[in-house]
Amino acid sequence: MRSNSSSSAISGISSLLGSLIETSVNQAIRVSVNGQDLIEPLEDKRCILFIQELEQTLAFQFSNTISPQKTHYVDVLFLSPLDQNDISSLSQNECYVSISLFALSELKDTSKLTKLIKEDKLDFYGDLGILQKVSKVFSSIEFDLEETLSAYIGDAGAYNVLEKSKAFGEFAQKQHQLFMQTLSDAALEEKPIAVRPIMVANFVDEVRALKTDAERLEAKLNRYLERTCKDREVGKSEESQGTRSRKS
Amino acid sequence: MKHQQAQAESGEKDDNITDFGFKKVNKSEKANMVADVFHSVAAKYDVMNDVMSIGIHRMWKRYTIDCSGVKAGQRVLDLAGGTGDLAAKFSRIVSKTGQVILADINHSMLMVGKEKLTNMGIVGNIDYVQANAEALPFPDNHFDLITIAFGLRNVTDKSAALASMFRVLKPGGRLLVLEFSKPTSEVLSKVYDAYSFHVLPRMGKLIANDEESYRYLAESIRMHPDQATLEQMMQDVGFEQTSYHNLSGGIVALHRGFKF
Repeated sequence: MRSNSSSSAISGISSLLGSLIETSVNQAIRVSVNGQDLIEPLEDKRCILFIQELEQTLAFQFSNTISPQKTHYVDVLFLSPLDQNDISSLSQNECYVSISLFALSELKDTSKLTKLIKEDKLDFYGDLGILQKVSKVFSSIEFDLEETLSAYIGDAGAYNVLEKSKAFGEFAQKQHQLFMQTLSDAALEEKPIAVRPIMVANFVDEVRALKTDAERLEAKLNRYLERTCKDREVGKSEESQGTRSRKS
Repeated sequence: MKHQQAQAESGEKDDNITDFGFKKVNKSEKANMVADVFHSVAAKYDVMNDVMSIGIHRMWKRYTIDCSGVKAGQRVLDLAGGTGDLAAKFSRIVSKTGQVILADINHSMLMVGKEKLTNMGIVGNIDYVQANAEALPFPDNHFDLITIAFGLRNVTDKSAALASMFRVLKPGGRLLVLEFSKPTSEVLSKVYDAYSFHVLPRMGKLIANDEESYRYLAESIRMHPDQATLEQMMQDVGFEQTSYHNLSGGIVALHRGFKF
C-alpha cells in the first residue's frame, strides 16, 4: 500500500465521489414520497457493484437508525476489488454484480435482469432478490416537489415557485422552439447550407419513381428472358422431332 | 525543529521522559496534560477539524472506512474515537448483529461523541468505553477491526498501545491507523509548517479561544513518527502485511496491519 501521489489523488477522488453519491442518494430518499418505504425491505442488506470499465467496486449498504422516525440510510463505500474467495463467501444479506458502465441504466428495469445475466452483460452472485429491490428503489422512487419545498418556504411559497417554474419551463420551451426555427430558416433561406424539406420530398418522389421504373424494367426483362428460354426449348424439341421423322 | 526532533528521540530513550509537543515532560504527567488539551477543545472539536482541514478530514476518514473491509456481524473498536465520525458509519455497516465500541481516554470527548451519535439515532449496537490505549480493557482476540484516527500521536507509550491493540485483535483482524505524518514534498512541507505554526494557533484562538491547545496539536504532529518508523513499530509488536498509504501528499498517512 506504500503509495505515490497519483494513487493518493485517486483515493481522494474516489472518497469524494463516494461522498457525493452517498449524499445524493440519501437526500433523494429523504425528500421522496416513497423512498423510505422502498428501502425498508433492504435493511441490513449490501449490494456490491463492480463497474467493469472503471475497475471500481462500490458497495451500497442499507441500514436504519433507531430514532423515533426510524430513518433508513444508505452508506456508499468504495471497496478494493473482490477476489473469487470474497465473492464465494458472500453472506445471505449480500449480492455482487459485475456490470458494464453502459449497461447500468438497464438495471432500473427489474424484468431485464434475467435477460442481462443470460446475455452475459451482467455477472451476478448472491441473492437476486436484493438486486431486484435495489433496482426497484431507483426505478420507482417518486418526488413531490411541492410538498418538499413547502417544508422550507411554506405552502403558498412552494405553490408560487412551482407555478413560476412551470411557466418558465413553458417559456424556455417556446424560446427553444423559436430559436430552432430561426436557426433552421437561417440555414435554409439566408445561408443556403441546408436543403429545404420540399426539395427533399421532391428528391424522394423522384427516387421513388425511378425505383418503380427500374422494377418495371426488371420485370419486363425477366418476362423476355422467360419467353426466350421457352422459345428456345420449343425450337429444340421441334428440331428433334423433325430429325426423328426424317430417319423413320 | 530537527534539533527538537533529535532531542525527542534521545528523550524516548529515557524511560521516564516523553514529549508533549516540543516540551519534555514526565511520562506520568503526559496523559493528564493531553487530557487537559482535549477537555478544552472537546466542545468545538468537530468545527475546528472542519475549519483546520477545510473539510478534508472527512475524505481521510471515508478512505479509512473504505479500507476497513468491515462487514455485518463484525466487532469493531474505534479507539481514541473522539466525536464518533468513524463509529457512526461502522455502526450502520456492522448492523444489529455486530458491535462497535467507541473508546477514548478522555471523558469529555467520549461524552461529546455519545451525545452526537445518540442524536443521530445511532444506538443499540454501540457502546462507549473510557479506556487507555496502552492497557485496553478487553479480552484477547476480541475485535475484527481496530481503528485509531488522529489519536496515536497523543498516546504516551505508542509501542505499548500498539501491542495492546495486537492483543485484543482477532487472528485475521486488521488495524488501521490514520494519523498526521510527514509530507513527501519539501515545498508542501514548508507550506504545511507555516500553516501549522502560524495560522493554526490563531484559528484556535479565534474559534475555540484556545491558542495553546492548537499549538500543542501542531507540535505533537511534528513529534509523531514518520511513515516508515510507524510501520516498523507495528511490525515490532507482531503486525504482519503492514503497509501505508499517503493522503494529501503525506500530510496524513493510513497505516494498515494484520494479525495472523
